Amino acid sequence: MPPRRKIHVLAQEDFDRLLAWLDEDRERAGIAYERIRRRLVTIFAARNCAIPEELADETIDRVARRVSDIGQSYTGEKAAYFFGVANNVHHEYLKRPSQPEPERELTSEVSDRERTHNCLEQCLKRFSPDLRQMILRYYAQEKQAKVHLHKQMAEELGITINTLRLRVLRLKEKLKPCVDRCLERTDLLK
Amino acid sequence: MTEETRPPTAGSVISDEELRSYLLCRLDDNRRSEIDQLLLADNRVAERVEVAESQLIDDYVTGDLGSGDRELFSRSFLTTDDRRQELRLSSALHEYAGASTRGNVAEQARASWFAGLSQLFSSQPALGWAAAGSFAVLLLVIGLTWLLSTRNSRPGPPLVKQEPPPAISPPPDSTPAEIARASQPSPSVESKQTPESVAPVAVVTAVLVSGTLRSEGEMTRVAVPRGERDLVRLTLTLESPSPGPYQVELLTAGGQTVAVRNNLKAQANQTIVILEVPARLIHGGDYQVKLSRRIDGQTESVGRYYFRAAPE
Repeated sequence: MPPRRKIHVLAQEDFDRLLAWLDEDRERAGIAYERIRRRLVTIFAARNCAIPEELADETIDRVARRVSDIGQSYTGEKAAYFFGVANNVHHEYLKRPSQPEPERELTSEVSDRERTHNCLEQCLKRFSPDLRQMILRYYAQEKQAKVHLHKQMAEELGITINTLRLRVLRLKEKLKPCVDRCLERTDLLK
Repeated sequence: MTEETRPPTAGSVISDEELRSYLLCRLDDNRRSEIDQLLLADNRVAERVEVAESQLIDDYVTGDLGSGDRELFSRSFLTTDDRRQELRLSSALHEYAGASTRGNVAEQARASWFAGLSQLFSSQPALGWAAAGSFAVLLLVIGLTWLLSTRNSRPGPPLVKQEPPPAISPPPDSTPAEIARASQPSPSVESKQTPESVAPVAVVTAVLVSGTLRSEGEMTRVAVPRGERDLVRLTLTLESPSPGPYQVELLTAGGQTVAVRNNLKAQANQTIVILEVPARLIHGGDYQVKLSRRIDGQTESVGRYYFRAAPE
């Protein structure tokens, strides 16, 4: 699936060139693109930037525009190139006059607990009983009881706790788009 | 290759605690830069960072972060749409899973009680029937005693329907705590029959006054019923009457939205706005209610209200 993109910021041909630079196969290139974008967002967020997504997109835009110049001649790690450009973007961001924090509209950030619960219930039904039970059990406790429970679950499955956490994370990644779509549908019905 | 882009030294191990510090923006610049590069270049490190993000969000949801980390979490970590959405999902999962566990425990308790009883009858039928007979006799005696006592007692005054206490206008110089106590006799509990349910539904009502200060002694306490269909009705008093429409947002003390209601009209001569919320959405702890009004396309904040919820 081609990655989402703000086409109005970057010319289509620059974007296509970027994907081709990342990988010859467009599908794999799209995955690489999303992976790099996500990691850049994390990097900018870890630098305490108020607009990490915007800075990540700016970084990618600049790399995309330079690919036509460096594409064939660049032989190093592509990640290192992105990193270098990200540093430049970050330095420029720090020099900007301090901006007020971006306003988030209340309606877009509101998460109605009741609706989320209902959507969650519907989406969990799509999982097999074993996976549903695993994720619900993982989230059932808190504090020390949670720690003991996770240890117990990992032992039962014969895996490490980190592997258990990773499995639950992957389950949540499948759950999230279903819940988001359900909430959008209920938004439209309001 | 510049100093900044030189790859980190091989074998530099990143602990889970370091990853958490990285995500909360409290790592020194050099170490942070090392992790930045590893994150971009190394899939295993990237995966660990993803897990660490998820873990941090889960710990926030279950209250396992210290106050310093909670502050950093809200201010420095929750800066992307993806993270905010993941927080919403984790929070919902935790509440849903908790409710499911409580339901399962109650069901298991019922099942084990019934299983115990069945075993008694099957293994020792004589004892089982003797116990059942004794219990039946006991019930009969209690019933007869009650019947006789009601027959012999004098007839009391005719039953009157208990009306909710009228709203009291507080004296102008009262403190918010006095106003809250005066206008709220005690959280009233009424039962109402809903068309869909057979069992009555408990509705707990609490009257809240807009507060500028939130302190231990002044916060209204609300006992939250635990039934699936029970409701909490929050009556928000308005400092100056106005029809609205109003938007009401109920949040936890940590700023997480629990429920939002739009287009609410003021009632009782435009002096109150009522927010009704399913009780199952409210857990123990402090809550705040934000009241705002739409005027000419602009949202105007009207007041903030606070209460402390305690499950019954």
